[in-house]
Amino acid sequence: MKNKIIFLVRLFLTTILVLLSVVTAVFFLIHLVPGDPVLTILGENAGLKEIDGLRQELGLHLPIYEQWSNYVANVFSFDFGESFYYHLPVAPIIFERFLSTLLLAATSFLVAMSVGIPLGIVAALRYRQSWDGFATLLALLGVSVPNFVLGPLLILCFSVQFQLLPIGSKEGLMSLVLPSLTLGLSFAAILTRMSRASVLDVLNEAFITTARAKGISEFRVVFHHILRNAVLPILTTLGLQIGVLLGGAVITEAIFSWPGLGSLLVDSIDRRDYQMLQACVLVVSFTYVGINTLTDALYCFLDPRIRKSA
Amino acid sequence: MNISSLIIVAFSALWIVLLIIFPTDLERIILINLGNILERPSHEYMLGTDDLGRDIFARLISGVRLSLFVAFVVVAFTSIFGTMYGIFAAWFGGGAEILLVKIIDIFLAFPGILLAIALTGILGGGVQNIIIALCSVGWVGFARLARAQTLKVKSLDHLMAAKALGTRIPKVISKHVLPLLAGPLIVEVTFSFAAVILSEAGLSFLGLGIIEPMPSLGGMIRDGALYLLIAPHYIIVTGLALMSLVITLNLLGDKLRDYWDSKSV
Repeated sequence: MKNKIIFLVRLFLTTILVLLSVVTAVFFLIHLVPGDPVLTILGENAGLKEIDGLRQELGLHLPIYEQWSNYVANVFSFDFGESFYYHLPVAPIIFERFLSTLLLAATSFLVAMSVGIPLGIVAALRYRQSWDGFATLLALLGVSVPNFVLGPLLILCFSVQFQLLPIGSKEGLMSLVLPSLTLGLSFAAILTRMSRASVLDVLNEAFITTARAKGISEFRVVFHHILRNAVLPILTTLGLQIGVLLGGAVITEAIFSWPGLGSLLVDSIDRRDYQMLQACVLVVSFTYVGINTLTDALYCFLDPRIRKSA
Repeated sequence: MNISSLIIVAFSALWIVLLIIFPTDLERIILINLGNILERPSHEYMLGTDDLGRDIFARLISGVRLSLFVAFVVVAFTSIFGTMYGIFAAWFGGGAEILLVKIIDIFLAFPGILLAIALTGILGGGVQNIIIALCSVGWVGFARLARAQTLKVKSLDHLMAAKALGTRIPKVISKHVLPLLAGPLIVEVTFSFAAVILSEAGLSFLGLGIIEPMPSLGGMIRDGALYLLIAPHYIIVTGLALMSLVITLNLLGDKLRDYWDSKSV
């Protein structure tokens, strides 16, 4: 119990440190804008008064450490500033978009889990047989076909040719199907590879041979001995791979004009709405860090070996 | 020879021949010709023309050239810098290592391609800025790999012996550590080459990468998606071209990894 608490406290502190560094990195993004960010936002013909006004508003007239501490304080009180494009506070807009992205990520994750993990397990259990070859080929295609190719091809097939599914994002649950498939299938390929490798590792362990030698039914060997041990490595790598899913969401949303953070991010770049851009990057990264921290914490509870060594 | 080796050889041969034989005819790539937009493949235009009447085939070839160039520069920089970073962290240990690993963790806190998108969004598109953005994201993988591998081999007997004999550190690293890391690093180079090609195409697809009228696979796929209904062959051929490159590299990476795994056992 004591070890567990030490582990969790250390995890918590590390996470805070990482979040702080992420905010700092995102803070410096606006200083990477070539030339003067205020001039870039307002354009060449802006008046002096306007320029000064915006500079004051963005706090760019302050010394850099003061800008930084203001920015950090604001972010941690969920104040992301005001959008230059919408002339509204960024936070409520971001929140609405965030829910949209979360919905897309969740359904894609479900697609990936229900396709990828069974396929990987079957491939490993039928190692070097036709099922394995089939799954490996699918996984190779999955990691090699980017979502900006898969998405349009799915539209061509399901919306244009057979007219089964809507393309746009305003037709309820049905409009969620193609984006989730696009994002989910590439993630499924990663999961297939991961779970295949993980199950293969366990299959080589001596305790599997022992279990079989004892005459335990194959069903019990697979579900009790192999899968129980194979799940943990899948779980840890899963957390890290969620980044692929969140990053991929940006492009997938752009393809289907899904009203999430990703399409907002890309639009904000076009609009030079840097406050919004920074907030989008922050929120997606915070989500990612949060998921990874949760995975680590979960891992500590699931695997007794970790608890002891912590 | 099994199927995957056959695919690797066939696709590599195909691309090498295409890239060497067909000269970059700037006129066909850039010159807008509104008289014949979105034409089907014909004798004159092997893969038809795009929405501005330019030869898709010529643009495809030169897009792939540009894409390979970007990938080559990015992978060359990230692999060298990342590997040195990782070896340095693992070799010296202590406070320096903790700091260096924390820096890696910060970069890893940005999911996938997000940081590259934000960077090109801020810096603007163009070959140079894509290379900067992808380099600042890509080195982390190499650094992690090199650190993990160096930690593994650091205490091997012959390394201790070399150190005890007073061999200078750069020599120990170049003569004794690097050869031991070569296998996993070459595998990583292959995969990251594929990953950089995909990222560059992704950025160009979003309009953040290579700037028109320069051809890029991502930009062509975006245009192809716009004219999906009128000219489906546009997106299909550009998509297939990108896929064939990435599949070849990924298969090659798998092969190399299998080879290396069997050797290390």
